Amino acid sequence: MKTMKKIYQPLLFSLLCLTLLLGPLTAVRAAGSAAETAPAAAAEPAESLSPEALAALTESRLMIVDEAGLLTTEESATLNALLLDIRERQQTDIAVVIRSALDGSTANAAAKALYGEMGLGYGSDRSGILLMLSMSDREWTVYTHGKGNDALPTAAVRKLMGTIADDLSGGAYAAAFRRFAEGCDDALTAASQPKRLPIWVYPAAIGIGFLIAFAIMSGLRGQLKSVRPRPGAGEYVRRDSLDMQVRQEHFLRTDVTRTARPQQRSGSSGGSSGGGQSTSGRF
Amino acid sequence: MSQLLDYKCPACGGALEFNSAAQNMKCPYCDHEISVEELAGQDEQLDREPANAAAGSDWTVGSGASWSADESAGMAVYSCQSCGGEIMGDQTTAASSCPFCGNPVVMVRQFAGELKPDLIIPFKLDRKTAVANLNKHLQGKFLLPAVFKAQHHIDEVKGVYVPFWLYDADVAADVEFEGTRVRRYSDSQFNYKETSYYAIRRKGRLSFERIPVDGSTKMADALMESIEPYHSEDLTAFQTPYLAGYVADRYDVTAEQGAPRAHERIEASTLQVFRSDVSGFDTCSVRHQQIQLTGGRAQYALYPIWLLNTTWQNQQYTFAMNGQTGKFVGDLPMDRGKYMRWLGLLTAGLSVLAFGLLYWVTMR
Repeated sequence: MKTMKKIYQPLLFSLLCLTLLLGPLTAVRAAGSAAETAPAAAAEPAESLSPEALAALTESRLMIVDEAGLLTTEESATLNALLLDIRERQQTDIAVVIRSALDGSTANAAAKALYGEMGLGYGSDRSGILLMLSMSDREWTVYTHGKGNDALPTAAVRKLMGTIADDLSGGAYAAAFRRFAEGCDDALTAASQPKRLPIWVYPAAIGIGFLIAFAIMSGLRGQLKSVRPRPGAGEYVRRDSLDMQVRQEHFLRTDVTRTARPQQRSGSSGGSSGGGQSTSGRF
Repeated sequence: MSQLLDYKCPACGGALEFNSAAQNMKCPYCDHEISVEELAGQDEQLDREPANAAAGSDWTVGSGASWSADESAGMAVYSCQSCGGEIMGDQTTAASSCPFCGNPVVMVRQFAGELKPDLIIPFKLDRKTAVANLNKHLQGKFLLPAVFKAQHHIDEVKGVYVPFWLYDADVAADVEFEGTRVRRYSDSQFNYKETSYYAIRRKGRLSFERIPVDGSTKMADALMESIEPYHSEDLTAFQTPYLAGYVADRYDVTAEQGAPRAHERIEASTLQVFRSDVSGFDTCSVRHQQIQLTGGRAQYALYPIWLLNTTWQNQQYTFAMNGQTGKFVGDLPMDRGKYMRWLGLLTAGLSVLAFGLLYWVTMR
């Protein structure tokens, strides 16, 4: 009983430490998120936008560029309105550019250059998401910056593009772009919410701690034991007595196993915090 | 002839002992030295004695009403030639010292005929080294109870010639392994893992010499193997003067009884040597083995071992030191309270670190 108490006391202590550590960390993170969003929301509250103001913004700010003529004027206007609405609510630019060809440059480089040329990026961190299609190569590229990086890491971009791949391939471009915009909206909303720590982290942390501690203590315990049988007699092999008469190696068979690779190609430039990041694939 | 043999100093009459530092017989009283060879002549007569010679009138096996037949069968009483005191031992005791006068004595009957060892490694290290090595052995052991070093009491330090059987054998082995080579490559769609299997054969011969197997049931086999290896360059022809001043036992495990252990070790090492001859494979495992021993030969030898017994909290701990190389072994007690405390503290500390890492991974 006394021994069990000796084990449980430190474990309970560690649980207490974890709980105390978690509270402030979570609070700090939530406060940080609120601090990030509050000033911008105060400056430009989404609710204050009237239909007239939205129409004016639509005229003045073009968030969709269709060089290939895939969209009708009405589709472009509707999509542009949606993108501007998301811009105001999320403080993040979302733009769609459809190009006929890339003029020799790589998709990632072209997307990055375009992001700058169009003056995209909201706020001081130039938050934004750019979807660029190259129709000659049937290639898409998503360039993210600032909050766009946080909301859409590479895996999330691939997942989102996977949901609109059929529409892009089937020529339903307006539907594809709408779904892309909605997906970006959802991702930005999710990224702005304070994350909840998964419950499995607690037992996992204690389990990892115990296993490492047990390994260390087992090593120290092993120092006390030095009496053990010798399995072999290698020290008593007569010098130069080994006479290997037969050395044969015959091939028997080969087994090949294969696992599928991710189908999309990807590239990146810059980091995810200060710089931009781009992901590309085919449709 | 006398059953007990002690070597008197020609200068002062004191009992001579084998001195490990001088590698000579030395009188502890007047420091007079005599070579082992000079005294060896005293033993020559023993070689002519039949092995099963009846017990002489000058020694008796303990018997009487106070001892049962089983007990008396394992005991022997000898008379000290120096003071006449009785030295009690068992049927395998071959060298000891008189408890009354401290005279080192050798029970020469234990080495008569077939019982005479072929070889011996004389003690190279002395009692002081054994005690010093014990203290060294206790250093740097984090979980050793702190009070053990201060409170343990060395009950006994004795130099013992332990009987060993030394096995020589030629080995003819034919071993089949299964080896694999793994190659990984990719194309635009898949990652591939190509595993190629090979049948590998190694056939050859190998020789082992002087593999020691403990010939005394009194000694724990694991303890005796733990202080190996012994180096055969110090082996010399057996002469009883080497035993003076030490304790010695004769074997009670026959060469036939000890052979299976030698075979086990030979097989294990043969496989290891043949396995090390195979290279260029990612994995290699034994599929079939045929190991035959030929030219087997066993020699009877005495090896020098310092045994140290200590008592702590009514429990006895035995340590052993190789009297040739100084290798020191012996299991030590553990401070269970300290173990539990540190296990708990480390678990707590490492859990907090692991939590921080997991927090960073999941929340970033």
